[in-house]
Amino acid sequence: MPGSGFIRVMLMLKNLAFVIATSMAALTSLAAFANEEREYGEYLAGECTSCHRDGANETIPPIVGYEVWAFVSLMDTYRNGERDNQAMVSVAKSLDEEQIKALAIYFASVEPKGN
Amino acid sequence: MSQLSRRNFNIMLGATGAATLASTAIGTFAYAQGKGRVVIIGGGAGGGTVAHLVKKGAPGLDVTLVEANAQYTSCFFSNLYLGGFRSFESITHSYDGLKKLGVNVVTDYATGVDSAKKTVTLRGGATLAYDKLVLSPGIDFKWGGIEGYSDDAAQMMPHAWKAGAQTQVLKKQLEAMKAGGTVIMSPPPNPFRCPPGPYERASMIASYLKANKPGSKLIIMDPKPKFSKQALFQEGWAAHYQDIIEWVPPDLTGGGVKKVDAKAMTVTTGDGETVKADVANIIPAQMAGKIVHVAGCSDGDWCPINPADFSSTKVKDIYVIGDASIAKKMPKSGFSANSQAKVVANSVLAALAGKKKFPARYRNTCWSLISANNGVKVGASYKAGADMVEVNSKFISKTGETAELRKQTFEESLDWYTAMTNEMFAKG
Repeated sequence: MPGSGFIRVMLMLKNLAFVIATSMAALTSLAAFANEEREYGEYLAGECTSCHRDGANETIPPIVGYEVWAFVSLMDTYRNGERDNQAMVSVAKSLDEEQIKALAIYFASVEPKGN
Repeated sequence: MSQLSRRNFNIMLGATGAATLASTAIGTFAYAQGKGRVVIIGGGAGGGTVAHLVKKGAPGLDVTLVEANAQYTSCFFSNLYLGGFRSFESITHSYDGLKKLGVNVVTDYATGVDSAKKTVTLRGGATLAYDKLVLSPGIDFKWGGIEGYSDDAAQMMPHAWKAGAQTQVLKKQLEAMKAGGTVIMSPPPNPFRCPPGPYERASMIASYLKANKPGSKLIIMDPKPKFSKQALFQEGWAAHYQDIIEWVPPDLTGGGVKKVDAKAMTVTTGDGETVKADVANIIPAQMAGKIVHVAGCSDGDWCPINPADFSSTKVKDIYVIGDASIAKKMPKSGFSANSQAKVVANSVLAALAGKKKFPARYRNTCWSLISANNGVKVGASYKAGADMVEVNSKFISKTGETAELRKQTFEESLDWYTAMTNEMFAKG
C-alpha cells in the first residue's frame, strides 16, 4: 500500500501521464496506420477506376461508399466462385487480404457523388 | 528524478511528440503540394492519365502536356464508329477537363529532347524544362514493308490505325462503295497496337456491309497465321458473316499483301496475285512514335523499360509508357497504357512530392464487338518482372456463351469506355 496521500496523488498523476502519453502514441500510430492503409488503398484503387466510376448506374456499378465489410464480402464472392464475372474474378484473385482491406478502407472513405 | 519532474518530463515528451507530429504533418503537406516540372508528351491513354493523376496528386507541381492534336479521337471504339454503333463525336474528346485541373496543355509537336539539359523543344519554337519527362507518343508506321504504301497512298487506302481523319476516310469510302463490292484488309505483322483490333474491325465492317451493301465481300489477307481471340472471332464470323468475311492465312498468299497501287486500287500478294479492291484498309507494320527515338530511349523499334515503374533503361528521368514501350506479355492497348500511367504517376509523385511509392501492379482488359450486343473480352494482371508475365489471372470469353452474357460483356465495354476516358481527360 502506498504511504502518504501525497505519494498516492503523485502515483496517480504519474500513471495518468503514462496513460496519456501511451494513448497519444497509440492514437498517433493508429491514425498513421489507417492513413497509410487508405493511401495504399487509393493507389490500388487505380486498378478499379479504369472501369468503375462514381455516378455510374449501368453494368459496371460505382463502388465508392461501400462499408468495409460489404466490400470485403463482395470480393470474397468473386474469390469463392459465388460470382463469376471473369474480369472481377481475375481482379479479386490477384489481390491479397491486406490489399483488399486497404481497398475497402479507401472506398469506404469516399463519399459517393451520386448521378 | 523526482516524481513530479518525471511527470513533467512525460507531459513534455507528449507535447514534443505532438509538436514533432504537427511539424511533420505540415512538412508533408508542403511537400505533397510538390515542386518541380513534369512534362508529358502524348495526350492519349497513357499521357492524359499521367497528367491527370500527377496534377491531382500534387497541385503544386508544374505539369505540361504536349499533344499535337487539339482534340483526341480514341482508337478504341473507332471500329464501332465504322460499324455504325458509335458516332464520331462520341469518340472525340477535348482537353478542357485537364486544363481546368491546372494542367498546361500545349497543342504542339515535340521535336527534340536534350536529356543532359533536361529540356524538350517544340516545333512551335518553345523549350520546356523538366525534372521528369513522360513519353507516351503511341505508334508510328514503318513505311516500306509494303511496296507503294506511304503516307500519300494512305489517303486512298487508309490505315485508320491512328484514329481521326483516317477513320473518317475509311468510313466515307465504305459508305460510297457499291453493293457487291470488295473490301480488302491487310492487318499488320506483330507487334502492333491493339492485337484484337483488326479482327474487331473486320467484324464491324462486315456488320455494316451486311446491313447496307448486300453481296459485298471482305477479304482479310493476313501476314500472320494466327491472331488474338481467333476462336471467338471465327465463331462469330461463321454465325453472322459467313458469306462476307474471308480470312486468308499467309501460307495461301505468300505472306499477305506485299505491294499496293493506290491509284489503280490494287493489292498484290507475296505470291504475285493482284486483286482489285473497292476499299482497301492497309495497316502497316509499326514502331514507337518518333520522339522516343530522338530522345535516345529506343532499342530498335521500341523502348526497353524498368518493369518496376516504366522508367527508361537508357535515359535517366524519362519514363516511356503505352504502345512505345516494350512491355513483353502486356499487350499494346489503351487499357495497358492507362494502367502503366498509374504506376508512373505514383513514381513521379514519390520523386517530386514526397508521396509513398507502392509496388507496381499492371492490368489489361480488351473488349471487342463482333456483332450487335455480342461482346467478348480478354484480360490479365501482370507481374512487374523481366517478362511481365500474367499472374494467375488470365481470362478470355468462351465460345458458345449465351446471348445474355455477350450483351452484358458489350455493356461492360460501354461503361469502361466512359470511365477510362473520364480518367484520361479529367472529366466527370
